[in-house]
Amino acid sequence: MINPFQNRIVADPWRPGGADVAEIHSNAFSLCCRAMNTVRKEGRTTSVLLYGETGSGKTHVLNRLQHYTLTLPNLHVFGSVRLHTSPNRLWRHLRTCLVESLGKPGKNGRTQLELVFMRRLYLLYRKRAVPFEALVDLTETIRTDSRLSPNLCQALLHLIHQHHCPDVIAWLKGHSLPESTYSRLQIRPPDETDDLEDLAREMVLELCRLAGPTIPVVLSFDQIEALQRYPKDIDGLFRFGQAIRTLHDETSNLLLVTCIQTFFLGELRKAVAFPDFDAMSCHVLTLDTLTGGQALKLISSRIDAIQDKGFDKSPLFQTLAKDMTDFVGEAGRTCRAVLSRCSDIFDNLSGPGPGHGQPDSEPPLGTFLQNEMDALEENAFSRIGPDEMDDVLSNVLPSLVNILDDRCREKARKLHPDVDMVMACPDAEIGICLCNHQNMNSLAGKLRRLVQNFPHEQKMRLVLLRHPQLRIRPGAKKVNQYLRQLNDRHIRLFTPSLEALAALDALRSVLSDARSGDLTYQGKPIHEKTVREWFKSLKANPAMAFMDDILSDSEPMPSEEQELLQCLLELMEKERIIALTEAAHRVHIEATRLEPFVKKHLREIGYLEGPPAVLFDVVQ
Amino acid sequence: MDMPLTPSDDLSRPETLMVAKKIIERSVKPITADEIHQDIPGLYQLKKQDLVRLLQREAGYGTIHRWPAGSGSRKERFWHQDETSYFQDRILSVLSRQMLTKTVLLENVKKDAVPCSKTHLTRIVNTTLAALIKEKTLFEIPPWGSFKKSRYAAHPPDLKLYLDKTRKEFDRICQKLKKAGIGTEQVFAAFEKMLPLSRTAASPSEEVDNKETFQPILPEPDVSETVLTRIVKTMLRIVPGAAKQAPVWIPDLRNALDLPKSAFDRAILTLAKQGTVFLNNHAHPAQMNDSEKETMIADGQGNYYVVVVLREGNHG
Repeated sequence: MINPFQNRIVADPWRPGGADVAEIHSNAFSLCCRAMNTVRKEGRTTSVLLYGETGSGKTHVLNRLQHYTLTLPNLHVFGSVRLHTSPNRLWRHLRTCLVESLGKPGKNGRTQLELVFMRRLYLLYRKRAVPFEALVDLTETIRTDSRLSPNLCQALLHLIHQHHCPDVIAWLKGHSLPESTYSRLQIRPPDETDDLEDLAREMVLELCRLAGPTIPVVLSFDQIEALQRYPKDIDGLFRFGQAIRTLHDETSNLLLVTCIQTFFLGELRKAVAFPDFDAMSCHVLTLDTLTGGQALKLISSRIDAIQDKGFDKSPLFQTLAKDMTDFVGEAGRTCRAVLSRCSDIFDNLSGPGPGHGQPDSEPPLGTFLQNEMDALEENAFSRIGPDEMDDVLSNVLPSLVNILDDRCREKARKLHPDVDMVMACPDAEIGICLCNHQNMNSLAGKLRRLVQNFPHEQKMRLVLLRHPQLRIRPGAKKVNQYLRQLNDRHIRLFTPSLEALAALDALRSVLSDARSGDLTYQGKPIHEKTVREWFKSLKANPAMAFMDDILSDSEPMPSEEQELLQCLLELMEKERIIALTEAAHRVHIEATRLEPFVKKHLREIGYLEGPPAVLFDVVQ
Repeated sequence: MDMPLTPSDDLSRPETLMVAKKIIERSVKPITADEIHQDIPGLYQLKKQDLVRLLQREAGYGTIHRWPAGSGSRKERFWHQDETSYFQDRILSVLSRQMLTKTVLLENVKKDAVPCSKTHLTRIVNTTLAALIKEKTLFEIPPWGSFKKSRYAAHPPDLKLYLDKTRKEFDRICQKLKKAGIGTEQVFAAFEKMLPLSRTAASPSEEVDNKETFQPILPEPDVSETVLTRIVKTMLRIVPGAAKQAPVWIPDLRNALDLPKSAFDRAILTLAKQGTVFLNNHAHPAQMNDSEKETMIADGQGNYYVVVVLREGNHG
């Protein structure tokens, strides 16, 4: 039988509703509901700051709130943000999370975004059906009423017509789009000089204004602790405080719910400016530990949910209830502690026997962490596309470089607008430029500025990173020209493997969970330091190999090799698949020389050993 | 336009009152209405006499406290704490650090404090000592050795010091009687019979043989209601949302109270036991250094409480 107590962590507020004990944390839930009423009735933004011990049920309260918003007669929007991001990309992360939340189903299976827009249309037109010809005029009215950009309204019209939906969502999230997509959507692409954080902030505020005064938007923030890239890092928390204050001051329909672990209070107060803290904490509440009675109700709700009709639930409850008296005691226990204890007892009771699973003895900590990483890597492998890569790398690289050498840190001040991160190590500074542009003009612009403005005498070593799925076509003449010029200056373009990206994302998740108290082993939270030490002790890992590649100062590719690679790429683009000998003939080189060259560039050119040896285009 | 049913009253301006209260809250000492008036920004200004009336009215409600005009040119003042509890806190604070005679205590309490007449302060010290000794928050330490006067402290007297002479005399007698074949146990039994009190503790033989244990076993002193109330009041003062379960960082509360560590820790644990507060512990205690741990409260099982929270509706 499946252990009814094994689910102890609510990973995010979108989990489907299950067994719940309304009495537990009812005061926190009521506080959020009252605050939501304030937003709706008084037309002003307010905030709730929820504190709680690790495993006390903060995310569970958010989960309850999310379900509650669906039961209300008036439309409410629910958004959630887990803050495993870089301080430098905070607004971009908020934008992505908000759009993802708006894409989640609200009432009647429609997305929250559709519901919001339809509600606004209904309030203007007052009829259930809006004729298509009236749509443009009504949208224009909404645009002027809520100070929305023409681009956003255009995107909404596409959505309501069910046109180009994936592209519209990608645009709303702020992803880089090819020029052809902008033309198709009839949306103006951002200017080269636009600050992406500013654009993201404006989009978040616009989407909040879109909801208008009658639709409260609950925006929840979880895993704030994950904003720390390394111990005692306060930059992310400071910027988070600023972002919350902006949301508080510049909107009138938000309920901002922030969850943090109680022990983090000291660090949060040190990092966040007073006015920002005030904006974050209009209402404050600490989640209680469970009393004995509440613990029994929690246990009872889990036992009641057991599906096996032949199972006698009463003896199990009696056994657990007996144990709880001492375990909970006067000080109380967190929900997670109670469930962990029950889970252990259940496993012991089950024992080896027919129909019962043998209780799994927990593996050693190192094995446990490796298993976690493996599972996360598996999940991340196909998920980390070009648009996710920027967020993953911005978040994890500063932590990773600090794990490998704790003297290395991300520099706070940007030296060049096109250098996205600077890692300052004792012996070198490494600048990282993320080049995941789908739009070749934007990429060419970025590279041109680096060629022209990045000083030659600059001591910093620069590395360009681009997702393996984004090939730079030989036809992208300007981009290739600038890349050659940068290569001559030892500025290299790296393409991480998909394995490395998956490993980096897995490391990011494990670190974030550890910082937020959501990574537990034997019922106790694992500290980030433990994860760092374990990771550092690993002998081989794709993430480490990638970092070594970046940090090593290898020679740039000679110009004749660059030209050969360019010729081969052009050939592969044309032929897709070709015998090695034929390819050698076409690029005027002996096959014996071409083979080792191709083997050096397997990320760019596919190779099958044969016989006969065959080259193929790796990008679909 | 509708006319208001009651004429507008300057005293009903809640913003001015809020600003005035913030000024009072921030002040490190009681301040006069003039000083408050000067600090109020123009937007919230009232006529001086209206402000005085407003402050007096609030003092009547008990939301701020009035400090009466003193001798000489000392004017009426206002503060977030009343005179008696202010000096009570000082007395507790001074005695938590050292044992003092009443005269020295008076001097220490007066030093660097808000000015107060000697007669008035003596009265406060006398009544405070009497009340706090009665409820066992403070203790009288009777004269002993070269100390000819009673002293006062935040802990009970060490009875071993007082009994030391008697103990030596007892040993001397036992030694003398031993030669006559009379054992220590017999001497003690006889002596015990002579005392009006009976012992119910462990047999004397065990204790007499072990010199280290032959001393009165003092129970952990109970935490007085005054200290508990003072803790709750301080929580409400330093964290305005504390009444609604906002967390209070234990090092902040410790700093604000200036109680001896053991007394503070015991008091917080007592409040938790009573259900008045609940405590949250550190998820990773091993990550704190020793000095950080010292500012928190240990539970004796390797955990450290970092936050104390007043249970809603459970603090009077």
